[in-house]
Amino acid sequence: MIDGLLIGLGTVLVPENLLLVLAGCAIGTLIGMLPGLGPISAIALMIPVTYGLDPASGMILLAGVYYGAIFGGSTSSILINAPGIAGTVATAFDGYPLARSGLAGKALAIAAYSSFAGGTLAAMFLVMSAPWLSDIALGFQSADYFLLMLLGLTLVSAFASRGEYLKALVMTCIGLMLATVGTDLTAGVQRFTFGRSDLIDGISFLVLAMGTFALSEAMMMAMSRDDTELSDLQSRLRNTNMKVSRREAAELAPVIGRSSVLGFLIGTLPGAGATIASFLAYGAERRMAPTSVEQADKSSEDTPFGEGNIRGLAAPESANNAACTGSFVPLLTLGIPGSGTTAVLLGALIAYGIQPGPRLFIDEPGVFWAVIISMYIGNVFLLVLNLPLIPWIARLLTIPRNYLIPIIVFFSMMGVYLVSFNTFDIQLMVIIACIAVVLRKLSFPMAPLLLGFILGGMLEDNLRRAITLSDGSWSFLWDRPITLSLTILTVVALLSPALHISWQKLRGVL
Amino acid sequence: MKYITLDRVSGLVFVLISGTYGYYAQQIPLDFFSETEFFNARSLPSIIAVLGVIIGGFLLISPKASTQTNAVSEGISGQSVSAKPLLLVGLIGCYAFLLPWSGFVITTVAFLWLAFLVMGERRWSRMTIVAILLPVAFQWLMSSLGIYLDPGELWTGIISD
Repeated sequence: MIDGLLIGLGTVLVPENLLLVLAGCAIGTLIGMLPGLGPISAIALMIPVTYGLDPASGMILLAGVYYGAIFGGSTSSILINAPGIAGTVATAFDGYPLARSGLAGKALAIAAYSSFAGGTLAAMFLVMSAPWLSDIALGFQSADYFLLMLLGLTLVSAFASRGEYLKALVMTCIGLMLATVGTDLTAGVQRFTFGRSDLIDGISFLVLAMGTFALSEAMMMAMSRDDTELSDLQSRLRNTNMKVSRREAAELAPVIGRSSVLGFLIGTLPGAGATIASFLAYGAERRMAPTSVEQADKSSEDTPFGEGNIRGLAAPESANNAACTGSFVPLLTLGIPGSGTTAVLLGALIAYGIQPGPRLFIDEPGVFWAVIISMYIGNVFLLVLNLPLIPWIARLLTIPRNYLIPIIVFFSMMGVYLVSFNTFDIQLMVIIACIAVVLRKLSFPMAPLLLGFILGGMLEDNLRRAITLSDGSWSFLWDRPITLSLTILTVVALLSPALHISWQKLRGVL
Repeated sequence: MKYITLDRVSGLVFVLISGTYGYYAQQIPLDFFSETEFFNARSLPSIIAVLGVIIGGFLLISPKASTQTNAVSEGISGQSVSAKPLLLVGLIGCYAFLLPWSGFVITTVAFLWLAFLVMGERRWSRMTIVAILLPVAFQWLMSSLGIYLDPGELWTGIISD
C-alpha cells in the first residue's frame, strides 16, 4: 500500500497534474454552483477536454470536477435555497436559514470545513479498504460479476425515492435496451441499427449523458419561470465573516466524524449515494439533538433544526462528500459504478482503454492511486482556494438565464461534437434530451437509465460467459455460496419496496 | 378519466415499447452456429423485452397509479407549454444541419445570437458581443489544443474556386 501511495503521489505531484486538480476543482465549483447542473453534467461537459490527456491526468481532472461540483452545489443551496443536485438538498435545510439570518459567510465556511473533513476522512477509508476489496474481487467469476451488476441495478431502483421504484426499474430497462444498440462484438451482427451507419458503433455514452443531464437540464430551466429570489443575494454576500468559534468547532467535530463514517459506508453501496447519505446523516443528528427542555438547560444559543442549526448543516455536508468518495470503492475495485456520476466516470475510463475492476489496482496502479491521492489534494485545494473566493465565485449565480441557458446548450453540443465530429450525434442528443424532459416531468429518474446503459454491455458479456460455462443452465445463480448470497440479496432488493409497503400496511392494521 | 393517469399511460407506452423492442430482437440475424448456442445476440434483448413488458404491466396496474390525482386531463391542463424550449430544439436542429456547411464560427455566432433572442434578451450590443466572443475564443482554444474545427464546405468551396 505504501508503494501504491508513493506511485500516486509521484503521479499527482507533477506541476501539470496539480494544475489539473486545481482547474478541475475550480471548474467543478463553478458548474456545480449553477442550479440544475450537478456533478454528472459537469463531468460529462469536461470529458471531451480530457481525451487529449493521458488516462491518469484525465481521471485527476474529472475527480477534481466531481468534488468541486459537489462543493459548488452546496453553495447555491446555502445562498439561494436552490440545490444544484439532490445530494445537497439536506444542506439547504439549515444552510439557507443561516444565510438568511445574515450568517452566509459562516454557513459557507462550515460547509467548506465539513466537506473537507468528510472528503478527507473518506479518502483515508478508501485507501485502507480498496486494496483489500480488490484482493477479494480477484477471486470473482463471471457469474459473480453478473450478479453484482444485477444487484447494483436493482439497488439503484430500490433506493429510488418513495413511489418511484417502478419508474426507476423502467428507466433501468430503457438503459439496458439502449446498450444493445450497435454491433454485437461476439457474433458480429448489427442490432437495432435500422440500417443507419451512424449507429453501428452503438450510442455514445457521452451523447446519452449530455442529452439526459446537461441539455435536458437547460431545457427544463428554459421551461421554468425564474422565481429564484436573487434580489437579496448581493446583500447576503456582503456578510463574508467566516469565523467559526472554538465552541462551535468543538460541537461540530463529533458530528462531522459520525456523518463521515455513515456517508462513506452508504456511498460504498451501489445505488445509494450522496442523497441518501446526506438525508440519513441529517436525520440521525436531528434525532440525537437535545429536546427543547434539555436544550434550554444546555445552551440558550442552540438553534432548532431547520432554522439554522450548524449541526444540521455540517452533518449532510460531511456525509455527502464522504459518500462521493465512498462511491469510488465499487467503481475502482469491482468496476461497478455505484451512482450516475461514477457511471459517467466508468464510461470515461473505458474510453481511455482502461477496464476498471480488481485488476486496475495491479495493471494500472498509476491511475488507481492517482485518483485516490487527487482526492486528498482536491479537498485541500477546495478548502484553501475556494473558501476565500466563495463570495466572488458565488456572483456566478447572478448570470442572467438568458445567457446561461444558450451557453450550456452550446457547451453540451460541442462536448458531443468534438468527440466524433459527426452532427448525427448532436441530432441524437437533442432527441434524447426531448424524451428526457418529458420523462423528468413525469418523475422518471435519470440515473438508473445511465447505469443500465453503462452496465448493459458488461452484464451481457458476463452473462454469456456464465451461461456458456454452465452448459446453458441457470444453475450458476445458486451453485456457489457467493452466487447464492448475491442472488438472494438481489431478490430481496427487488422485493424490498413491496415488502416495505406490506409491512407498513400490516403495522397500520395492528 | 380518473383512472387514466399519466403513470398508467407511461406504463402502457413502456409495454408497447418493450413489445416492439422484443419484436425487433427476434429479427436480429443469426448464423447457423449462433442459433445453436445457449446465448446469442438475441438472448439479452429478449430477456430485457420480457422484463420490460412485466415492469410496464406493473406500472399500468399499480395501486399508486389508480389513486393518484394526476389524471391525464388535469396533468395536461396544469402544464403551460413554453415555446422557448421548442424554439431552442429547432435552433439546435438547424445548428447540426448547417454546421458542416457554413462552418463552426459563423454557425455558432448565429446560433448563440438567436438563442439569446429566444431566451428574451434584448440588449443588442451585449448579446452580439457575447455571441461573437465565445465562438472565437473557443476556436482559438481548440486550435491551441491542436483540435481542428472545419471552416465549412461553403468557405472551403469559395477558397478553392
